[in-house]
This record gives sequence, C-alpha cells and structure tokens, in this order.
Amino acid sequence: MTLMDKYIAEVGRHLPRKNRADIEAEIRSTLEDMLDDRRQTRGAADDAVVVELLKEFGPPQEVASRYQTHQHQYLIGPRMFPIFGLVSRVVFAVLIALSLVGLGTDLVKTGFTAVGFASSVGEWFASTLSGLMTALGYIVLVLAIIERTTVGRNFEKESKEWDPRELNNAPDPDQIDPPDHIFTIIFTFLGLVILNLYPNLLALRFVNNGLQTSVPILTEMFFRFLPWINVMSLILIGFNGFMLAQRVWKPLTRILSIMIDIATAILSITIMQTPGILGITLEALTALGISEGANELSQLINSIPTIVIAIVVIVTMIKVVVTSRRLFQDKSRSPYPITK
Amino acid sequence: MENDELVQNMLLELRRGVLSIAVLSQLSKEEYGYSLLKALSDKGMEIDQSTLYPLLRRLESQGLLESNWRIVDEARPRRYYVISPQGRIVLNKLKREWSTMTETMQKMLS
Repeated sequence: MTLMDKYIAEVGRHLPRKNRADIEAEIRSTLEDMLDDRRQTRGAADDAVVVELLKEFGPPQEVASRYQTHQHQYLIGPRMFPIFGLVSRVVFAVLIALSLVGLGTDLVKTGFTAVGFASSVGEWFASTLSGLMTALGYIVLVLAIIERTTVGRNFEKESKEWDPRELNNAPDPDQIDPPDHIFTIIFTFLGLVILNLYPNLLALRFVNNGLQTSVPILTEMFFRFLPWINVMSLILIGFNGFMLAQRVWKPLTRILSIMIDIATAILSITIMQTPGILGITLEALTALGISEGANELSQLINSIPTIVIAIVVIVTMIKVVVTSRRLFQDKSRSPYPITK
Repeated sequence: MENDELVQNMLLELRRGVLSIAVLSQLSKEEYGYSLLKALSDKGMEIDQSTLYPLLRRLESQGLLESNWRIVDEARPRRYYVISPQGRIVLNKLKREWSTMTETMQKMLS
C-alpha cells in the first residue's frame, strides 16, 4: 500500500458511505495528475515529492469535511433553533415547578430541621439537574429527528408563508398586569374584612347528635398577630393600588415589591411557627363529643401550618428571583432612554 | 493583526459566492477537475483543489453540471464535468446579476 493509497483510504474513512468510492476515485485521479505535473518539472517523483503533495492537498479529515458542506453538520439547525429555545424554556419551567413542589413536600416531611433542609435541598439540586439534562437530551434528539425528516422540511415551507399582520405587539416587561394587582387587592381586602369583622366565619361546623356545633379554626394566639397582619395587608393594598395608578414598573417599585414579599413571608412563617394558633385540636373535638375520626382530622388540620410555610418559602423565593431578574434587566436592556 | 484576519474572512466569504459563477463559466466545454483548476488559475482565479472538488459535486447535485468518468487518450480514468442546460440558464441569470452588482459597486466605491 503506497502512501497515496493510505492517504485516500484515510480520507474515505471520513466520507459518507454513499459517495465514498466515487470521491476516492476522483481524489486519486487528481493526485496522480498533480504528481505527473511534478514529475515533468522535477524529472522524478520520489516519496518526498508525494509527501509534499499530500501535505499540500490537506489533512485527510479536513479534505473529507469539505465534501459534507451541503449536508447536516449540526444537530439542530437555524430553522429549528427558535423552537428549541421555546420548548426548552417550557419544559424546564414545568420540571423546575414540579421539582419545587417535590422539595416542598420533602421539607414538610423533614420538619425543617437544619440537617433535613440541607439534605433535601442537596438531593433536590442533584435530581433537578439530572432531570434537566435528560430533558435537554430528549429535546435535542426529537428536534434533530424532525430537522432531518419531512416534518422539518414542511416546517421550513410553512415558516416562509407568514403574514406580517399576524405579528403581536412586543410584550413590555415593565408594563404591569392589572388583573394581577386587582386580584391581590380584592383578596387582601376580603381577608382583612373576615379576620377583623367576621372571625367566626373561620370555623369548622359539625352536626353532632342533631345539634349544630362549630370549632373555630384560629385561636386567640393567632389573633395576637392581627395588628401585624392588618399593617401588612394595608401596605399590600396600598402598594398594588399605587402600581395600578402608575401602570409601569420602575426599579424603586420593584425593590419595594421584593421587600414586601420578604416581609410577608417572614410574617407568615412567624405566625405559622407559633404553637397553638389552630383551634382544631383533638381536645377541642373530643370536648364537642366528636370522637370518630377526630384524631385524623386534628392531625390533618395541624399539618397545614407546615405546608403553608413550605409554599410561602417557595413562592416568595420564585417571586423575589423573578423580580430581581427584571430589576437587573431594567438596567441593562436599553442603551437609550425610552419614553413610555 | 486582528484586522488582517477579519479581512481574510471577509474575502473568503466574497470569493465563496463568486467561485460558483467562475466554475460554471469555464465549463461550457468538458473539463476534468485538475484541468479546470489550471484553467481557472491561468485566468487569475486561484482556487484550492479541496474547495473545487466539493464545489463541483454540489453544482452537480443541484443539476447545474453533468459529469461522467472517461478515459481519454489512454490516460487514467478521469471525471469530466460540463455545464448542463439548466446550468446555462442559471449562469445567464447570474451573469446579468453580476453585471448589475459590479456596476452598482463601482458607483459606490468610486
């Protein structure tokens, strides 16, 4: 096997099987033509001339790669990339949300001890990361298949038939979402009215031996926090009303929003961690003559504070991260002032 | 140094588009790869063989060239390329576009 044979075989190793023999034959024919040329100018062609010629022709892998320029050299091409971004974002958001729910449940089970917390968060991080990587792999695989099939080609055809009139307005991240603020105001107000004026509504009602009895859900201990709850609720209503009037988010209002979220979370956790805030205890139920299922019911009700804490911590974390991200985007997004 | 690299890359892009027209224009009569390489070089269009052969194949797969293996004058087998009828139509269009483009560029650069 001559040096030229070895070279051609090496190029062939990196060529698609379909055209390999044909391309190899053409490279051989060209190399021999080039070698003939050198023989004529130099009189003879020894190994050194062949080496020089092959070096000039280029490294085998590089030569082979030039024959593949018209084929797919990427897993996900430009036409599929926007879909890849969209699908990845949706799948990642769903996975993270699900894993956060799992983390919350885990934290409830471990009872918020330092060791349990660290272990749950560690496990959550590892499993979430592994889940995200697996999901990413599947997304790439599916889109790579689509890219190489008729579906992909049809998609390209469809993407060319677009109508500019179908374009949506670019969403403005600084614009407030009024229903969100109206919803917060209404529910905070309702909460304030019930807690201050109709606390008796917050009770579990039973019919026992033909008599209607009730057990208040919240105790005197809970209502000791009422002034704090009122202050916090009024701040929340005031802030959301202010945002409805302003219509746009500004760095200062985003910072205020983060502070209110954190303060609300601290107050909620403090209340929920206080023992004796719930009135539905085994004793209370027994005193009312309810014995059947009383134990299970009181256990169920008394696990609520822990669940609430977990939800509050997770929701606050998400809200703070989202608001902080937008706060930093405010600073870097626009190179010139935009008149709203 | 950085500018040199930038210029090289831009020239490469510029040449890439021109090469197809150059190759099509030289294949009104049959040529095999190496003879075409020399014909282009004689006219001042230096092209690397590792660029030319894949380009010939691409033009052939697009239906702009035709090729066949032949032995001429008892030499070794060679693959001969010639422009196809479709290639002629495309080349004529490209020629017209090229004239307009060079005219425009002359105006812009003078």
